[in-house]
Amino acid sequence: MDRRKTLKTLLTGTLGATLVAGCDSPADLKTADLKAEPQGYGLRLPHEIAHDKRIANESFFTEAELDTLGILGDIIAPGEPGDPKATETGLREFLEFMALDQPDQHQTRLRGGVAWINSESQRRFGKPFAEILPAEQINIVDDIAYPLEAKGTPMEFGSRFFEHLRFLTLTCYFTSKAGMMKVLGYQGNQPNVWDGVPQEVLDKHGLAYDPKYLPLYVNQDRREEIAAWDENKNLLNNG
Amino acid sequence: MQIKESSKEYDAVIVGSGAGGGMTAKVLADAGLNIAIIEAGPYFDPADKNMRTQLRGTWESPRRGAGTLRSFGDFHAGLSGWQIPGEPYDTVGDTEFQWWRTRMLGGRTNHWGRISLRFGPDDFHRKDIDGLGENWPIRYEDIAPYYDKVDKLVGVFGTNENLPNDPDSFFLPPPKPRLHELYTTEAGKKVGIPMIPGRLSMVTKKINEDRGVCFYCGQCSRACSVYADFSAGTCLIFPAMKGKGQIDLFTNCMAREVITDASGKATAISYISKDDRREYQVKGKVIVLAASACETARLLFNSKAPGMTAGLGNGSGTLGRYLHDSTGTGTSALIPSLLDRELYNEDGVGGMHVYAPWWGNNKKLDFPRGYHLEVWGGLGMPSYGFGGQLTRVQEMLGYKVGGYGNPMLKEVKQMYGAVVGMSGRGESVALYDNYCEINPGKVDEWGIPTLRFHYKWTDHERLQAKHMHVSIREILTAMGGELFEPEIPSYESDHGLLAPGAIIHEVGTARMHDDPKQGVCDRNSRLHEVPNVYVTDAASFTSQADKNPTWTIMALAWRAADHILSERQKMNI
Ligand SMILES: Cc1cc2nc3c(=O)[nH]c(=O)nc-3n(C[C@H](O)[C@H](O)[C@H](O)COP(=O)(O)OP(=O)(O)OC[C@H]3O[C@@H](n4cnc5c(N)ncnc54)[C@H](O)[C@@H]3O)c2cc1C
Ligand code: SF4
Repeated sequence: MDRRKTLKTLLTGTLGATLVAGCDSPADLKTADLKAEPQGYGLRLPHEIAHDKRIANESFFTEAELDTLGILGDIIAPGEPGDPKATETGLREFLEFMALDQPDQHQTRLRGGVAWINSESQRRFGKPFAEILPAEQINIVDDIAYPLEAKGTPMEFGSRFFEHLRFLTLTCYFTSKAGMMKVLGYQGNQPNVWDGVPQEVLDKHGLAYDPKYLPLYVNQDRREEIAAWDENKNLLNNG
Repeated sequence: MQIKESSKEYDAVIVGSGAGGGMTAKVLADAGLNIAIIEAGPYFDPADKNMRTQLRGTWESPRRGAGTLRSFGDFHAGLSGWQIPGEPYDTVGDTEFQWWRTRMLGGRTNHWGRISLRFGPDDFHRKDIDGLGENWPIRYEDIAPYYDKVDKLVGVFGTNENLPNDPDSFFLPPPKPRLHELYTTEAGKKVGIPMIPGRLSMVTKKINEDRGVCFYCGQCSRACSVYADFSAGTCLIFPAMKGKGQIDLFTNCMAREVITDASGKATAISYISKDDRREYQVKGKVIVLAASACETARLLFNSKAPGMTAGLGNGSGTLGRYLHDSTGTGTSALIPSLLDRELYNEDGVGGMHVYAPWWGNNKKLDFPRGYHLEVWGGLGMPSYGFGGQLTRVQEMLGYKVGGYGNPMLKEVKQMYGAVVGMSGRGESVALYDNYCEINPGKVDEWGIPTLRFHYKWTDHERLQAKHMHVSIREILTAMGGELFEPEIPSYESDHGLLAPGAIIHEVGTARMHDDPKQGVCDRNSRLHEVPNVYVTDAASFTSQADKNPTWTIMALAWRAADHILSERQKMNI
């Protein structure tokens, strides 16, 4: 079966037949292809548009704060050679956006955390975090990156902040295009034909499809044939 | 056609364009009637490039999919949700109710889970079986021909299993299970909980020329641009607009009340146009209410007719009463043998490929009604919160908890696709004391009186939830799982039951009953007291089942539409 070809008929053939008559603003389904408009992200309600507009017109973090968050983010997710680091996956923009999108969740935790780490850095090395040497930065990070060890010590304040920043950094990293498709290896989000778990994977897990059900699952070679049943509810054209 | 005002008298005016309204419109328009649909939300077509969110990568959302504005994710097709600005609702005392409202052409069907289950023969007369609640005035045989029609028109995949209370259907072929679903099925066998192919309304095999065939992106909650998943707009209303009848869409129009004449017959719907905030009327020979169960009750409460001061058709005093939602709880586990998985595209359809219909015997259990189990997991598209379980999983695996850098990133990758969860969805017993009513003195921004809710779970539901937890834990443990929540939530915390309304299967607020003193609707979904007003959403349900409601909403809507047609023929309406 030529997947590309069936997908093409699937997309153009069926879309062609879907033209909506009698309605004012139907999409031109004939020419619809599977790319959404590059701008915007779907139909938005007035309060959603206002919310996003507000964010676009406001700012929260100072440049210095974002620099510090970026340094920490890149320590959290440096990436293997050839992979992006956190700031290359949009971390600064994402943190700024989230601070304005969910202020109660993020503003004080992140701003306070940056201030805390600067004090700690000042105390240990006489300068704010962004200005100390990488090895000195790691010296502090090692004390706050392991929550069970930090618990009950003065480092717990930094550790709570670090956990929150790690949470946001992981989201940002693995939801970026490169982080998701290349680093993680997610292969979906595209038209395809699901025909079950690959055989070698089944073998590895010691699993098999139940022979009773195998003939009943969708036969992908015949999916374009209009379904027909006998009166006893048996599907006739899937075999 | 989308219009704002009209002086013509329609054959039928339908309020709401979701599962119920869409199906009524389709059947009536195909019979050649002129229809007006009053819809509170905007026009929506997922094939329109400007509206489409399908196939967008998470990075296209500036909040990376977070649910700040849309509880179920930034790309979710549902407009509105738990709260609508300017349209409040309240609860009475310390009772709880969560009310999900989707306002758009097609309603909640743009993003529902597409789990499409017929009720079984027992589900129509539970009172005969356990003495609780009330029997429906109809039986499975009355509705079965309509389920058949819905199957063939809309399309649902599944397998005929010859089960006593989960009827066979005209099924499309189901997709093969994913890896974690095979694991779950095997584990189910070990503990005596049979899992079978899921029953969902995505078109896995072509059903007609109006619809595309599924291309397995797993994103049905974003609405399908080739119309391969069922939505009332794309699959009922758009095709109906091409047919014999005429459908005029009044979008962004908020129905306020049913207008009646001196004889008590309904003549029109009055509505507020959201664009100019003025009130208009549209006249109809028949009025169909399908604004969703609670919204329909609200419309009836807000409508008055001679001699009917407690709401239209509410002589029985049962309007708003017997409100009930499905029960729900669940939990999840790390499955060590799924760590470090081979990666491939397993998006599949936007929902589970296997599930467990109710397998138990309530006569031998300490709770009266059943539930079914749903499964989730797999290699889905990462979104906001991805990797959030890192430290818990590190703990389970005996790794050093926390960390940073590439070793930590590797651990995150290792656990991708290794978490499996299950949820129970069960039947609750409908009670007179669980209700919605008009909140005295409080209006929404359209000037329409709002609702308040009074809903409490009983031990029937709590004990059922406990049983769900036991069953789910048995399955997850049988697949080698390490539970994220080892203890079953306590009785005091309702054994983990979600708040009433949270499962979004609310039904029963204008229930069917043969006795006009005990129900608002008759067996044909028509108001006992107003012969030309029909209810075709889940307000008319006498009881819910251990099934999701929408297939039954559509079968009953079709049946009600047939009744409207026969009454027209007899010149009764
Ligand atoms: C996330 C989610 C998942 C779900 N999954 C499933 C599932 O898997 N299986 C299942 O069976 N069910 C599921 N459901 C429930 C299912 O969506 C509903 O049962 C079904 O859509 C109800 O149909 P309806 O016609 O009654 O209401 P809706 O589909 O809600 O349609 C009502 C319409 O009426 C309009 N309206 C409301 N008030 C007014 C007014 N005053 N004037 C004019 N118009 C008005 C609304 O804008 C809306 O478009 C799910 C729901 C949600 C939210
Ligand atoms: S999974 Fe199939 S039906 Fe669902 S949105 Fe994707 S293509 Fe459409």
